[in-house]
Order: sequence, then C-alpha cells, then structure tokens
Amino acid sequence: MKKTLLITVVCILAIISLQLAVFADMGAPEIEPYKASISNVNGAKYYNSEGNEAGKLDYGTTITISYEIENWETKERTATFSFAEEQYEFYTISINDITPLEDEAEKVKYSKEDKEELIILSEDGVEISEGPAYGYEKTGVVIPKGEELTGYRTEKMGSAVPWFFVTYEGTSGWVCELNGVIGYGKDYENQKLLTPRATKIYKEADYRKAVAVIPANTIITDFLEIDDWSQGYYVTYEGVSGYLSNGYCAVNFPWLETEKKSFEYEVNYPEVKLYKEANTNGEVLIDNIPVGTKLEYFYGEDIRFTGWIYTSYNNVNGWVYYIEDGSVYKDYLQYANDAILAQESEEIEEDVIEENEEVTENTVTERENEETVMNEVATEEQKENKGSSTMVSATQIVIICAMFGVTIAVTSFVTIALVNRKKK
Amino acid sequence: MILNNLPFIMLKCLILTIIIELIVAIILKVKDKKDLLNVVLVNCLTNPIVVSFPVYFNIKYGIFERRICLIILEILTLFVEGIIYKKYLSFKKINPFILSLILNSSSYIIGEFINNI
Repeated sequence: MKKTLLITVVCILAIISLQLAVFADMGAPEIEPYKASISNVNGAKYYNSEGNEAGKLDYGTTITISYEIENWETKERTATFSFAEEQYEFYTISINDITPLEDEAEKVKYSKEDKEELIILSEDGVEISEGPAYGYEKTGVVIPKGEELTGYRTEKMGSAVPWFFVTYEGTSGWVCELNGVIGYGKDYENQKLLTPRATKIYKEADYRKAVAVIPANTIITDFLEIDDWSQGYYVTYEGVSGYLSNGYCAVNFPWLETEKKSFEYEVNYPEVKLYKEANTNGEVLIDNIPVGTKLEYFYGEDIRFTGWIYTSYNNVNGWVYYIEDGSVYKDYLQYANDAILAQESEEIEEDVIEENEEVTENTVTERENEETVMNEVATEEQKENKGSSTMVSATQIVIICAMFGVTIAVTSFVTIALVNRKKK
Repeated sequence: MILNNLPFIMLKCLILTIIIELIVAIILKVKDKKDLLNVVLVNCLTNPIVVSFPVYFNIKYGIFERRICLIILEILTLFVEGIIYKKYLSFKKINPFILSLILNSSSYIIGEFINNI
C-alpha cells in the first residue's frame, strides 16, 4: 500500500514537471533548427561571429535558425543561422527581424475586429499562402483581379507588413498587400482626393508606366487605399484605373465636416500668393494675401513631400504654399485653430532655433572632445576588463554549463566513494 | 531553444531522470536506502555530462555530431553505472550492467514518450 502510494505520488510529481518541457536522460536537449523568414520589410542585417556586419537579407528570405541566445546585459535576443554552403560558419540576426515558419504555433492570430473589404487589383491576381509570410507554401489558389472579399488584417511580429486572412472558394489562407496588389477602403465615406497639378496615374505601384494624366484641381472620389509602402492610392478617372502617388495629391479630412471643427491657417509671412495650381511657376490668382489672414484648409498635400494647401480667399479657390523648400524652414502659414497652441508652438520653435544655432557653433568642437573622452574611457575599460567581459557567446555558455556538469559529476563521485566507504 | 536556459534544462533533466530511475528501481524491488541513494548519486555523476556535452557539439558542429557524441556518452554511462552498481549495490538479483541498462532505457523511453506528447 505504502509502496503503491509512493509510486503514485512520484508519478504525479513527474507529470507536473512535464509542464516545464523536461527532457530525460537519453533525451538530452536536441537543439532543433527551425525555418524562419525575414519579416523586416527593409531587410535584415546579419553579423559574423566577431560581431561585424556580414550582409543583409531581403524581406521574405527563408533561413534555418540553429538556436537563439539572449544578451545578458541588453536582454536582446539574437538567432544564429548558417548558409547551406557554409555549414560551419554561423551568423547572428536579430530575433525581431525574423518570423518562425513552424506550423500552427507561429501562425499569427488575426483580429476579427480588424476587418477590411478587399478588392484584388493585381492583373495576375493574388495567390493564397498557407501562412502570413513569404516563406510559407503557396496553396495554388489564385484570387483573380477584381474579386471582392473580406479580409482580416494582421501584423507579423517584428514587421509592420500586414497580411490578410481570407477565404476564397473554400480555401483559407493569407494574402499580402505589398506593391499595391490589394485595395480597400471602398466604403470610406466622404473622403476625396484633389490633384494639385496635372498628375499622372500609373499601371503599377512602382510608378513607372503612366496610363493617364489627371488635370489639375480634379476631385477624385473613386479611389482605394493600398499598402503604406507603395505610398499612394488606386484611383479611377474617366474609366481609367491606376496608381496615384500620394506625393502628388491632396486629401481632405472628412471628420472636419462631421465634427464641425475649423481647421484654419494664418498667414504669417508677407507676399503669400494664391495660385491656380500647386505650382509656383503657374498662374497667380491673388498676388498678396495680407499677413494675419485666416485661411480655411480644404485639402492638403502630404507634408513629407511639399507643402501646399487648397483654400479659399475672397471667394477665390486656389493653392497656397505652406512650407518653403530648401535649407531654411519657414512657415508661410501658421496653424491657428487654437491661438494659445499657436503661440506656444511659436515659442517652442524660437527656442529650438536658438538652440540649434548654439549647437551649430559649438557642436563640432564639443563632439570631438566627447568622442575623444569616450574613446579614452572605452580603451581604459577594455584594458581593465580584458578577459573578464560579461558578454558571453553561445559556446561560452555551453562550456560553462559543461564545466558545471563536470563539477557535479566529480562531487557525486566523491560522495559515492564516501557513502560506500566501508567502516573499519 | 534559448541557450541561456541551458542550466535550467540541465537541472530539469537531472530531476526527471532521478525520479524515473528511482521509480523503476523500486519496481525492480531495490529496497535498500543506500542502494537508492547510490542510484541518485550515479545519475548526478553521469547525467549533467550526458546533457551538456552533446549541446556543445550541437552548436559547434551540428545535429549529426551531437548524436554521435550522445551515443558514445550513453555507452560510457552504461559501463560506468554498471561498474558502480557492481561495486556498491547490495541488490544482487539483477546483473548490475543489465540493471544499468534497464534504468537508463526506462528513463530514455519514458523521456522520449514525454517529449512527444
């Protein structure tokens, strides 16, 4: 009875310990390699055993990871891999730049709340993959151009490239929206595009082959959103569809109309002109809008490229230059929706300009001095810490563990001898 | 596998091996407490080396080399444990080398079964 009870208790303890994924004697941990794909859309750098950059892998490249290791100081995890042709040459890559391709466990969950109504835009259609990364197998099922279906958006870890989970003709899987192959946002209400100048639309999202020209000041309502990396929209104008770069169009803000908020700019620079098109060489409608004039924003260009807004002055609609291009940043217009906010931002800008000027005068000298000091400190630290660095490699970890194991073994051997020593 | 967890993995391996081999030893009617203690100590002697050395070969060379190392170490383990059992165990019903084989096989089989659940 006692023996049975003892055995039962020990078995239960053993089962509980299984939750920790324990390996038994003969099952000494085998480091199973696994396949992963590069999930960083900008590619991923990899480093050799000396820590020097050895190259860069493109998005979607599949590699086989041997093992992972965590830096004890920075807690950053890296994965180690090798190329087939260099079996014993190992490289490391950041764990944030890869996505494992293991079966069920790594398929990223999608949110049913993040739903989009998709339209396939690619001439060749889009093939469904088994998982949300290029390394997954293809299903062979191609969704043709023009097909409309529901997709559930997801983002892979370490990458902001969204894949959509879709179901088409009984096949479920994942499609990627890169390169503008998928459009959505058809049901976005009241959003419009306006062309600041005569603008081309292109056959593909690489903006190489033009298919039509849209005249200046054309309002476009028939358009779809595409992936952020293609930086544009899929538009239809007079029966012709194509890709329009968001650097060459202005958008409105529909929420302004529904929330009835004013969105004004104040002219704070003399001789601001109202143009017919967003072109400083084009026709001038009004030569000088007085300083202090409040202009309402109707459409605006992406501030990253140029700075034009479509507005109205004295019942004349036209374009006003928002930001001066070049080395000096000046606002021709000032956002005046909130006077206090405007004043604060002015003060902040003045402070920033003053700081920048001071920094410019002293930066070079100070930086050189700092670098010299840092280099000296680093050199001294290296001398002091030589041979006692806390940065350990994978091999060092295993050697330490093996030495620890040997220590235990020797201790056990001695213990066995002592325990079994025959008493005289 | 994150290599930083290797010490914990070694510890868990050792604990589970000891548990399984103790159970099997008891089932085989090894009753003497000193004999059971020897079973525990023998596993402390062999298990850490059998776990850590193949990992080194795994990361340094590859899975194939790791398996060769493991096979060699396991054979050595059988002999070392058998010799210790022969010298120190009062349990004589089973040949010590066969006892070593049974205990190690049990921990291996049960361990593989557990891993594949």
